[in-house]
Amino acid sequence: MSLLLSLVASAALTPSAPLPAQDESESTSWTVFAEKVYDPEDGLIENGLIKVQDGRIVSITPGARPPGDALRAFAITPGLIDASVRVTRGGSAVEQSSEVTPSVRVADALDTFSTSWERQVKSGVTTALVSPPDQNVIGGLGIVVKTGGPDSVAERTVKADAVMRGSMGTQPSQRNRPASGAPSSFYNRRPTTRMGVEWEWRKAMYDAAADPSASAPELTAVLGGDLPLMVQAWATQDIRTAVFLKEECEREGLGSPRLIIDAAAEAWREPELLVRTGTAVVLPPFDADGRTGDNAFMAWNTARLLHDAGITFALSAHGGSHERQLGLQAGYAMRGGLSFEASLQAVTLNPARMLGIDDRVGSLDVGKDADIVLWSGEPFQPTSRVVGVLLSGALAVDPRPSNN
Amino acid sequence: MLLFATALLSASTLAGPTTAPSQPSTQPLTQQGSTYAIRARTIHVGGGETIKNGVILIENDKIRAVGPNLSVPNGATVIEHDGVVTAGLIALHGYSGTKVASGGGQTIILSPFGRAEQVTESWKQHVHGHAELEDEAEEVLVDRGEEVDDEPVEEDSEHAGHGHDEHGDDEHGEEEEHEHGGTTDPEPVEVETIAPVEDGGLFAAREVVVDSTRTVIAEAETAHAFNPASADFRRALEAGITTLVLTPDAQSLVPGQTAVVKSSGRVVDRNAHLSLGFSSRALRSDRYPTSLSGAVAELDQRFAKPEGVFKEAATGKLPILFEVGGRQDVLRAADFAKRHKLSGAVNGASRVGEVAEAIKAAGLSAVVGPFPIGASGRELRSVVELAKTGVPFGFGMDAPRQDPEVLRISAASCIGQGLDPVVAWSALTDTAARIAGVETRVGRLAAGLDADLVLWSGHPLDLGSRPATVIVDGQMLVGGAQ
Repeated sequence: MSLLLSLVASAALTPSAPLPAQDESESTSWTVFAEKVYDPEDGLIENGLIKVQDGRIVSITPGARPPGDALRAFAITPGLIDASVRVTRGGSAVEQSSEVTPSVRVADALDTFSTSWERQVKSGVTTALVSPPDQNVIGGLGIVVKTGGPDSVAERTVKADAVMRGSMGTQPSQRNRPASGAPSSFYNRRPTTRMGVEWEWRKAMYDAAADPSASAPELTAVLGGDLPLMVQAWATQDIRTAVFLKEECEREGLGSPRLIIDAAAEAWREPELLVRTGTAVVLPPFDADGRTGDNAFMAWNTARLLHDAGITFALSAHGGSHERQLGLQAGYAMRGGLSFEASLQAVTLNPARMLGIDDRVGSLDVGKDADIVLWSGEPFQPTSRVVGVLLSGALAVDPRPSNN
Repeated sequence: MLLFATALLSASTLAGPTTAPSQPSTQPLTQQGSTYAIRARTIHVGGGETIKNGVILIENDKIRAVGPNLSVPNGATVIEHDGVVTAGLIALHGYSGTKVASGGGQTIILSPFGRAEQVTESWKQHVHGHAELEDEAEEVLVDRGEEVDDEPVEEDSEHAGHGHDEHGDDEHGEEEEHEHGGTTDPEPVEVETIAPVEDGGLFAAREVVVDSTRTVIAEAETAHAFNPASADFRRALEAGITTLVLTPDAQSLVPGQTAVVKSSGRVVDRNAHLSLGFSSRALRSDRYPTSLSGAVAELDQRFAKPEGVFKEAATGKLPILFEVGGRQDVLRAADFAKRHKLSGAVNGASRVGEVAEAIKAAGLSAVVGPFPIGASGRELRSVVELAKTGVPFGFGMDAPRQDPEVLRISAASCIGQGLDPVVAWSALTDTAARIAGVETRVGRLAAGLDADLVLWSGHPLDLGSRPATVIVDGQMLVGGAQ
């Protein structure tokens, strides 16, 4: 420690040392300190000092004394990860000309200039999976991006083609209807019922297995288990349909999709289905009366039940802000009985592993991206708020009072 | 302020430093004969260069020489102008005179803004000129009307919060065409014979019928779709605009090719750019593609093994006009241009200067504006940023929705926010000419270029100045002894 302090002191005395005030908005090298540093793998580190250089974490020192120029807060967590951020260019993100569009990339329909991204950063979310909106049965490829940084989607990308996205339930059939007279839009020819949606799913899987050369290579990757299949299914009946589809694919020798169920509000009803198929889950945001999408009911203790059943799950705010932001979702899960440690994992390491990006994000580790959230008090408590954010080492939210 | 005098000087004393080869006379000149001169207090030749008390010698439709001490051929008329002479202005984007714009089944009617009777009249003429389209058109309107009425109410707030935000975009835009029902004019009228609506007011471009099956009509030429007798061109002339780029409406992926025309109606280049729809305006819910992702995928495919018009574009012969909306569209267009090694310009981006680096890195130019009175300061300052970054740019006009005066107002407003006046003037003239691909024809006052000139009462960027005389291809179309 003394060595470190002397280094800092000598740097301060050297005339050629760059002044931190200059172009610090460009800087990706910082020192951050908090009384409590919470890591999803290593637990609590008291009086933790984290050094960041060129956008990555280079050291984490417990029991440290903070140098004067350190960014400080009461608590630190890794940058939060939301595996279901629904911020796209809406209708123009959905290729309606077919109900199964596995090759469509949502990356082309992101707007990094949307103010929603700034709200994500301010709420402590630094990494997000964005998927095609669920108007299609199989909508296409989702992308993992940082929520801030350069304007270019390519430069923000953490993982392109991270999941194949699709949906069970009523959403892909909403707005669709039989043609009255001459068909006037693509909505006239798409499934109008739940079972129609399910039929499209099975047809796509069987077709892809029967003739891989004639179908989208992305579906072959799904059947081979190489590309995770993320299916939105709120209600029990739709969760069942998704799980049974996976089991049918295995039984019939089509392949073995790696299933993630998004917005699985009613996962608490039949957790054994998820356990037996090794299916991971992303929960939708909690709502006051438990009513979520597709008339599904999500109880306050859903996260706790999934945890106790040994199911891998992540929490999500769906890109919402204010009262629905991701940190508060973790708080709501704790209110439902989940431990702080498990809640932290559900918004950091779990989604990182689910999406295969835990080599870069999801915990505070030397060599990982410096995505760091500074909290005014205990994280996830309604009485605390996010006061600072480092995103890939850049100071996205400045915790110093004079700069706010 | 014009004075006519016959020069008494001999032709042998002609000492212009920039004598042009003589051009064959293609059209009769005005009353002055085939050679005449303009002597003016100030001549802006372009690029910030000014000649005091200079002379411009015009032979047929070309500028023969420009200089401070030119001698004028014997017998040639000399126009004395106590003001400023410049090259004619160039408007880079707009729909002037495209009463029926674009080809391939895309039909656009320009209807007088806010005048319902005229809308009806245009519609009647249009419908009866296209008897075969009438049923289809009505069907489209009725069906699309139903679609709006039947729009299911989102009951689920979770679903309503995302995904559908922009869906409504697909279904508006046909609100004013319903008056056509019950019109019974039995007389068929050819499209070509539709008289221009000389209402003296502003016009608005409205989509009435859009081909819902073809989104790629690369061969369509806007040059076939404009009415040279339209009052739009007279208004452009009176605002000092002598060259216009006419653009197809980018409500499709590939809506066609732009045309460069003179405001006399003469076509200079009928294959100026290939227009590509890079904003969500190019998408519809009843036609592939409905998504930006699908649009990029389709265009990628067209340029992967380019044929026909796409080959012309891919080999650099035909620049691209990327029709964009927001800054993200610009980034996608820039990526696309780099990916397929395309040249050209982006048009229509708001806050375009905030992504200037990406435009520059892709080697593209920009068409900005129009910025009518009251345009946001952020938009205007973004143009200043564009200039600082070094991206070549010119101004769009969006006529007939905007009055052509908006072109000078746009440039002046940008100067008000810090744009270098020389850059602003180039954006109206020589830079614009390069973006339009006609820099060897127009944009400056130099020997050999087209004789497109404006004789202003004062400094052209002083909005109080008026064009006293406008000359296109040597012909005096505004002012003078008409």
